Amino acid sequence: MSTHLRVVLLLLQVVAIAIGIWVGVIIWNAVS
Amino acid sequence: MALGVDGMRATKVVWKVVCLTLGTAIFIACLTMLYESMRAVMDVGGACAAGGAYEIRQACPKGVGWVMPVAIFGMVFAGIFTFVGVFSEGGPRPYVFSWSALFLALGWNFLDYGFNPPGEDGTVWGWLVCGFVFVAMGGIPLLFLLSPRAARWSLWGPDSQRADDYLHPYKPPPVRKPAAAVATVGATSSAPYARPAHVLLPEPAPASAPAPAPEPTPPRHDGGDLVTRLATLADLRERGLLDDDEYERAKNAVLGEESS
Repeated sequence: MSTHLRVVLLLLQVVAIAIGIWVGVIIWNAVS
Repeated sequence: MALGVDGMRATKVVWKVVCLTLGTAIFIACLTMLYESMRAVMDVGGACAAGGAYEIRQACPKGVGWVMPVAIFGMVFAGIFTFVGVFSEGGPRPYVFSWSALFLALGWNFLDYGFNPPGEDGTVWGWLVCGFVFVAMGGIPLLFLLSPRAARWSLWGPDSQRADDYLHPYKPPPVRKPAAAVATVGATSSAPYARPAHVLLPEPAPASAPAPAPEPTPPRHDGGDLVTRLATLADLRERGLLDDDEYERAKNAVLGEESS
């Protein structure tokens, strides 16, 4: 596996965590 | 190499990347909803109820009744999604951190409300005990990150296997006695490969004192010798001294001798 792909996957995980928190808060605020 | 992964189709690489990223995003979204709904329950005293035939003393805040179970099962589903998306060849393993993320997030809620309970002063020791237990359950497994090897494996993934890993630690072919070397070269000279000359060929004898030619002895073909010869062939090919066709013919010749 190339280093480029590893870096891309790692950055995608960071982005996914940020988006996950944002989506979770949005959903909770919408239903609560 | 398709999109950075040897021997994998590009569509599969894209599919796994989507699974890995979406799995992490869904897991974190569910964890955030669980975190928020837990805080909502603790705001009303830490216990609530909804539905049923009994009179309810403390109703659950809006949304808690379905958000909690959906978030819990959503995390399980997302974890499986992430697991499917992980590349065995390398890359991050986010599922390694899911246990710690869950218990540290909920443990923080227990500690936060234990030290600052809503509507009263002092501390709530029941929540504090839960908080310390949860933080320990989530934090102790993270100590594995102190090991550089484990941290590298979970964030960067295992290293790709090198083509000559089976040779490690590399041992050069043994230097043979001249007589055996001559016999070996003679017996295999028809094959399209040859060992390095400095390994196999003896020093030339002085012309003034010709030594009687020793009786050629058959080459030994025990398991260790076979492995050494195959390793030498692979080494020669890797160094560019043999092309693929020559390597295949030489390997077949070695294996043919071994089986005969």
